[in-house]
Amino acid sequence: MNLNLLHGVVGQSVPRVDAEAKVLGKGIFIADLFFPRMLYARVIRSSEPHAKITHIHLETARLVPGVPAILTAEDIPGRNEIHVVFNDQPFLAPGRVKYVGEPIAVLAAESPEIAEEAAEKITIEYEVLPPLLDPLEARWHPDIHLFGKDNIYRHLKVRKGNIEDGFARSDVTIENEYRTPCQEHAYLEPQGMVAVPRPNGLMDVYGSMQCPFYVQEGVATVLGLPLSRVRIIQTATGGAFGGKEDVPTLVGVQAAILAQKTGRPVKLIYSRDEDIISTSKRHPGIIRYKSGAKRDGTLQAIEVEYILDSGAYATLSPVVLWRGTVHAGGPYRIPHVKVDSYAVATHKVPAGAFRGFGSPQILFAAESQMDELARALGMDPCKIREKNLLRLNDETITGQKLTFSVGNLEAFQKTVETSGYLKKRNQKKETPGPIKKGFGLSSVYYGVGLGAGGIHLARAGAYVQILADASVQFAVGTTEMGQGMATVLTQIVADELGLPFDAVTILETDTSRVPDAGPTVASRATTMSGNALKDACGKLQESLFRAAGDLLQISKESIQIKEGWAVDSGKPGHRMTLKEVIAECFKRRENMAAAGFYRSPEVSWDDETGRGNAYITFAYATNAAEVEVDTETGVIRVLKITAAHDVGKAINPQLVTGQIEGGIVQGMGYTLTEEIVTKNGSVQNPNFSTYIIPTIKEAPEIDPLIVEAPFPNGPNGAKGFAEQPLMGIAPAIANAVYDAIGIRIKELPLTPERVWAALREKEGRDKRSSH
Amino acid sequence: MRISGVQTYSPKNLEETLQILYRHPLQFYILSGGTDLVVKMQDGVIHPKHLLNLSFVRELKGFSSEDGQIVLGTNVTFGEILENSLFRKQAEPLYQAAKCMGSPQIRNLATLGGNIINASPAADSVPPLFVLNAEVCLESVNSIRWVKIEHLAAGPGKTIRKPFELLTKIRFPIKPASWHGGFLRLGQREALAISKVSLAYWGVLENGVIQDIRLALGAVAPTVIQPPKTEAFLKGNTLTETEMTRVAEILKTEVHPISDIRSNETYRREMCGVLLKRALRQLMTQCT
Amino acid sequence: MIDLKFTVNGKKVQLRVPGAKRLLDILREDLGFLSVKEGCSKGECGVCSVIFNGRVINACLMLACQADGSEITTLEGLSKNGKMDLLQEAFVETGAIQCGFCTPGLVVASRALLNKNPDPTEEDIRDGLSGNLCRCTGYTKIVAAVKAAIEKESNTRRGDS
Repeated sequence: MNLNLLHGVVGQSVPRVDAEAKVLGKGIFIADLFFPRMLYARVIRSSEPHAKITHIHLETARLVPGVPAILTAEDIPGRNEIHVVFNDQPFLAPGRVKYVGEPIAVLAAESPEIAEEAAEKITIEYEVLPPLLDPLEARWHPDIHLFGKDNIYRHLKVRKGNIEDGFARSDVTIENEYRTPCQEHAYLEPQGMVAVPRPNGLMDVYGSMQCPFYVQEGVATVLGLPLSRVRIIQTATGGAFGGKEDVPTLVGVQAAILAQKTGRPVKLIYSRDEDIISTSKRHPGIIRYKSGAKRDGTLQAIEVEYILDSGAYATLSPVVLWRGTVHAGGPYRIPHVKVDSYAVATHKVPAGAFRGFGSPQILFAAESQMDELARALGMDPCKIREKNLLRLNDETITGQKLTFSVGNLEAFQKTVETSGYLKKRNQKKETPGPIKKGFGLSSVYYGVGLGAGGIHLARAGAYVQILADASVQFAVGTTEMGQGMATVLTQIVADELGLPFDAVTILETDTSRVPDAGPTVASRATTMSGNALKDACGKLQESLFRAAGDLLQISKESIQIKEGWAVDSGKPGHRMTLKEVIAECFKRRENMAAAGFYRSPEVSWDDETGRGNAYITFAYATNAAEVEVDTETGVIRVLKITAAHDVGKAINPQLVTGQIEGGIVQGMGYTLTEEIVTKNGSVQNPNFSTYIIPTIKEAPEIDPLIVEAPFPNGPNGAKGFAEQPLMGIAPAIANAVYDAIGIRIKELPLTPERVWAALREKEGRDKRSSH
Repeated sequence: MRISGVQTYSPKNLEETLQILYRHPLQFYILSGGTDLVVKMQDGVIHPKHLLNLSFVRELKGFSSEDGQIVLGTNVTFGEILENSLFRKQAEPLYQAAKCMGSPQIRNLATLGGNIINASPAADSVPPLFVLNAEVCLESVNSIRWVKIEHLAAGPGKTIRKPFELLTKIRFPIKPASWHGGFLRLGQREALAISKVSLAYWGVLENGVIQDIRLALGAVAPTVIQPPKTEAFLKGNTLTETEMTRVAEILKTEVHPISDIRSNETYRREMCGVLLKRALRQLMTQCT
Repeated sequence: MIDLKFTVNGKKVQLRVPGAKRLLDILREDLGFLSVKEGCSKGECGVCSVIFNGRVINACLMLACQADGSEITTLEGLSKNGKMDLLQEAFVETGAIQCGFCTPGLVVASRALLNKNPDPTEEDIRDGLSGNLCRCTGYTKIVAAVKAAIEKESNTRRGDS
C-alpha cells in the first residue's frame, strides 16, 4: 500500500457524477441524438421459427419514395457473421431462418413513418421446416441439426472426489428436478444505435451498449473495414443487465451497414415489442439435482445435470453455461461432486447474458436443496448453511483454494442476526386466517470477473490526464450503464491524485481513446478499470511527488497527497496546494498524461476434469426473505428482504446499497411473475402489459448490509458484486414459501396459479392420508 | 409504430359530433381517452383513416346528481371519479374499481365511456356499473335511448351501439342509505394490471340477513356477467361459513372463464368463489 | 393537419401538425423536450410522463388533437433559472437515480403527486408512482427521495411563513 496516499472520497457516498444530467432530463440517450440528413432504419424479421426462405419480395417496398436502401444477406460487403464465442450466427439470415425475429433485411428511409410503410410492403416466402422447441427433445436429436451433430453448444463437467463414495457416506440424499423460466431484461431504454459515416471510409457508431469493443469488431467484420476505421462511442445507457452485452453488436451493424451504403447518418431505435421479441434473455433452465449429507448436516456429495435452453445461435451460451457450472454447488464445502451441464440449441431467440449469467438458475436448485436436506435432517436451514459455508482456506467444487477475502460467514451472520431470522421463525404463531407467514434464507457466492472462461479478455486500458488548472480528465474502455462505474472510478482517480472529487471528469467511453478493455460484464468494471486507472495515476504521482518534494524541500517519499494538498507526512503543517505542484510540473514540461493497463491475475480451468482456479476472487452474500402467502388465492407478498454482501470494499456505499436493492427487486420479479411465454417459438408477451415486472407497489422493504473482506488485488480492496443481489432471491423466497405453507415449488415463477394448484394438491394428499 | 395518414375531427358540441357520425357512420373511429384506441393504432391492429375526437365536446364532460340519479358524461376520467367524494360515498364499487385501474397516468386519460364501450370482459368499471343498476345513453341525430348496462355488450369488443350512435351519458340511482358495496379483483400485480378475475357487489344486510344483493363479475365470461342463481340463493340468507361455502360453489357453476396469457380457467373459476366469500364478509362489516 | 395551440412549460406554442401525431413526438421532435422518453408506446412504463392540465398522463397515448388549449409541464419546466426543483435535488442526494432513463418520468409523476397532496403517506407515494416502472433501483431510494423532498418542501413552507 502506498503511504503517500491518504484516502479522501473512496468510501464516501458522493452523489453520482451523471446524476445532474439525468435528473434534468438532458438529451444524453441514443434516441436523443439527431444528425443532419439522418435516415431511419427498420429491420425485417422472420415470422417462422425454422424455415427456408424461398423468396424475398422487395419490389413494392422499393417503389415507396424516400427509401434509399434495402439490404439483404446478398448485399453484405464483408463477412455475414456476428462473432460472440463461436462464429455460427449470421448478421442477416442467408436463406434459412432459425428463430422468430431473426433479421432478414434492413432498410433506411427518410422518416420513421416511411420506414414503417416500406417495411410493411416487404413479403417473405418460406418453406416451413419442423422446429425444435424443447431442449430435452433437441439434445441428441437424430434428424434435425441446429448445431453440430447433437445440438449441444457446449458440454461441461466438474469431477471432484468420488461421487459413489460421497453418496454412500451420506445419511440422507435428496433428489429433485427444478425448472426456471425465460426472463427478459426489461431495461427501460430500448436498444438503439446511430451510425455516422465519416470521410475516408471511417464509420462512427453511437449507441446504448455494454461492450463497445464487441460492436467495433462486428461493424468491421460485416462492413469489411479494418478495425482502425471503426469508432464506437457509448451514449448514456438506460439499463442493460447483460441485455446490452452482445445484442448491440447486431443493432450497431444494422445501422452501420445502411450508413455505409447510403453515405448518410442512420438511426435505429427498437420498439419495445421488437426488442422483447428479438433480443437475448435469461436461459430457461432444467436442473436435476441430487444432494447427500451426513446426519450432522455435513454436505457429502452433489450430482447435478444442468440443461440450458440456449436458442438458435450459441452467442454467449458456452460461457453462461461455464459460470453456472462453476457455481453449481453454492458457497459450500462439498467433497464429492459430479456436474454435467449442457447448452442446447433450439429454434428460439438466442438466450444470452443476464445478471448472474447462468448462476441464478442453478442456485435456485442448489439453495432449495439445502432447505430440503435441512428438513430431512430435522435441522434449521440456518444451521445446515452455517455448518457448510466456505471459509478461509477451503476449496470450491472446482478445487480452488480460497486464500483471501472470504466474507462468506460474516455476510451470513450479519443477515441472520440483523433480520432476526431465528427469532421470527421460532416464535412464529399459527394464524387462523388464510394468510401464512414464512421466513427463508439463501446463501450465494459470485466469481468476480470473467474468470477462466474468458481469460483472453481479462485486461483493461485507461487514460488519465492532469490539466494545467489542476483538473483531471480520464477515460476507460468499460462502460457506465446505470450501475455507477463512472462515479466509483472518479472517486478512485480523485484519491489517487489527491485532488478533490469535482476536479475529476470521466469522458464518455470511446474505442478510440483507450485499448480494448474487454466487455463490461461479470461485475468487472470497478476492479479492472479501477486497477488500470491506478496504474496510470501511479505514473502521474511520480511527477507530483518529485515536484512537491523539491518545492517543500523534503524527500519525495515523505510527501502525502490529499484533497488538493501535498503534505509533509512528518510535519502536517508543512504543505502546499497541488495546484502549485501541478503548475510546477507543467513548468518542468513533465508529461502529465498517462496510459494505464491492467491484466488480471492468472486463473485456470481443465475442461476434462472441471478443475481449476476459476476466478480471481469471489463475492459472498446471504439473503433472508419474509413473505406472506394467501392460501386462498396463492398470492405471495414479499414483505422484507435482508441481504448482506461481501464487496471487499464499498467505494461508494450508497451505490452499493442501490445495487443490492435493484438486484433484489429484479430477482423478486424472476421469482414471482416474470416469464417469457412462447408458442411455436413466437413470444406471446412482448410488452409490459403481459410481461410483468415489479412496480413500486410490490417492491418490498429492503435492508441492504455491507460486509468488507478486502480483496488484495482489487482497487482499494474492492471486488465486483453487482450481479450477486439478484442471484439468491428466488430460493430465499421459495424457502420462505415452504416455511409458510409447507410446499416445495420447484418451478419458477411462483405464480398464484402455481402456488394455488400446489396447495390444492397438498390438501388432497393430506385428506387422503388422514383417511 | 408511428401513426400516419389519419384525419382528426374535434367537434366542440354534441350536435356537431352526432352530425358527423350520422353522415359517416362507418368511417370514424371514436377517440375518447385513447388509452386503448391509441395503443391499437400504434400496434397496427387497427388503421383508422378518420378519428372523431370527443375531448372538446362540452356536453360529454362532468357529472351531476339530479332526480335521484347520478349522471356522468361519457368523457369523465377515472382520475376525476377518484377526486370526488360523491363517488367514494355514493358509489363504492365504482370508486374502488377506479382506484385499482392501471396507473395514475392511465386513470387521468381513460374515460368511463371508453372503458364501457370497449366491451372488454375484463373492463374494471363495468361490474360496478352492473351492480349499481346503471344505464347508458345512446344518442344519435334523431334518437335517444337509455339502455341497461347489462344489455349493452354483445360479446368481447362488441356492443349493440349502432354505428351512428354515441354513448353520451351514464347514470345510476343514488345510493339508498342502508346499501353498501365494493369491488375486489386479482391481477398479475398490484398496479398496471388487467384483472384476471373481478367482482363487484352491492347489497343490504339487516340483522345478519341479506335483504338484497347484486353481484357482477369480470374476466370470467365473454362479457361481464351477473350470476342470477347466486344472487337468488343469497337473498334472505344468513351468512354462516357453511352457507358461504355453498354459495361459492353455486357461483362457480355460473361462470365460464378461459385460459389465456394472464391466468387459467380453473384458477379463475375457483377465485370467483374466494372473491365472493371475501365480498360477503366485507359486506357484513360494512352493514354493522 | 391541425393548428395546435397550447402552453408548454409556461410558454405559448403554436404548431401545424398532423392531428394524430402523438404528444410524445411533438414534445421531443417539434419542441425538443428530450426529457420525455419513449419506453413502451403503450402507457405501461411511464417514461413519457408529463403533467397535462395539472394531472400526470402518458404522452405516448395522447394525440395532438386532444392537447389543443392545454397546459403541459415536462421535466424541463420544473427547474427554474437553472435551479433544480426540490424533488430533483432529493433524487440526486438519496441515490434514486441509476441508469436515469425512468428518472424524468418519476420526477414528473412525483411533482404531480405533491402538487395535489403535499403531505402524502407512503402508500399515497407508492400509489402515485405506480405508473412508472424502474428496473434499476428496486424503488427503495425513490420512495426515500420523495419523502426527502416532502421534508424539504415543508421546511421551505415553514421558512416562508
